[in-house]
Amino acid sequence: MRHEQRMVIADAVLSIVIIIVVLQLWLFTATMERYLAGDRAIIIPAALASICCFGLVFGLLFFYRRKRVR
Amino acid sequence: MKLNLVDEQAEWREQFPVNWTDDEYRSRRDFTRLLGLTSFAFVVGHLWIIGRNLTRRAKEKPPPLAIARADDVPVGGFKLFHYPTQNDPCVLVRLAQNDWVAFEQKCTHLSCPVIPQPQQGRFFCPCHEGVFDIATGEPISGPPRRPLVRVTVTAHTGQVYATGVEQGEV
Repeated sequence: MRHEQRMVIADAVLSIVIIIVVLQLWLFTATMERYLAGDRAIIIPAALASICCFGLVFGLLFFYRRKRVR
Repeated sequence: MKLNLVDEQAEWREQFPVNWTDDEYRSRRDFTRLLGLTSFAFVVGHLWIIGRNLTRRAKEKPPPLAIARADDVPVGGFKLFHYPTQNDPCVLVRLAQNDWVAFEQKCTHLSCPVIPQPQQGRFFCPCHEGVFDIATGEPISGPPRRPLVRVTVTAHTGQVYATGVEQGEV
């Protein structure tokens, strides 16, 4: 794969990862806000969503690493 | 002179060659990895909240405490007390003959003591003019976004007892 093509993939992966991490930041602050307000029901679904986000990030990084090795 | 500078720079470049494209490429990859670690940190944060919630649940419920005689507080009146420890100021309000509510006296904005104003149906925080509903503790106006922490109370044989702290923390 040409270097320019790899850079395009890197840009795409980076953009998606940034979006996911910003989403996680919002999720964490919103969860903390609700938890401090006494709403305990939200913390488990929020944690699961955060784990899914991390899984996506990890998957993207793994995918990118494999592409780079090839 | 200008030519010499260029020549010197060329010599320097020969001795320490840097492939800027590769260098930027590597930095971007490292930044993406850092974002991956940040993502993991958020997961740890969520797990910390769950752990904290579980440990709070495991704590023993505070014992009931007699906080006032029913005759001492008229309808529309209030009384200050401390529960569950002496460091937790609370306020008991008698809304109707058999309708009692109690809340921690700390504003959920910056922990200023709130002032009960039963005639206006509200708690008022003078620090930043926060207003809470006197019956529910929900914020009505001002900077507070979270409700006051409710203390559960029961009236029994002329005595009012605080029986627990219902929700939330500041």
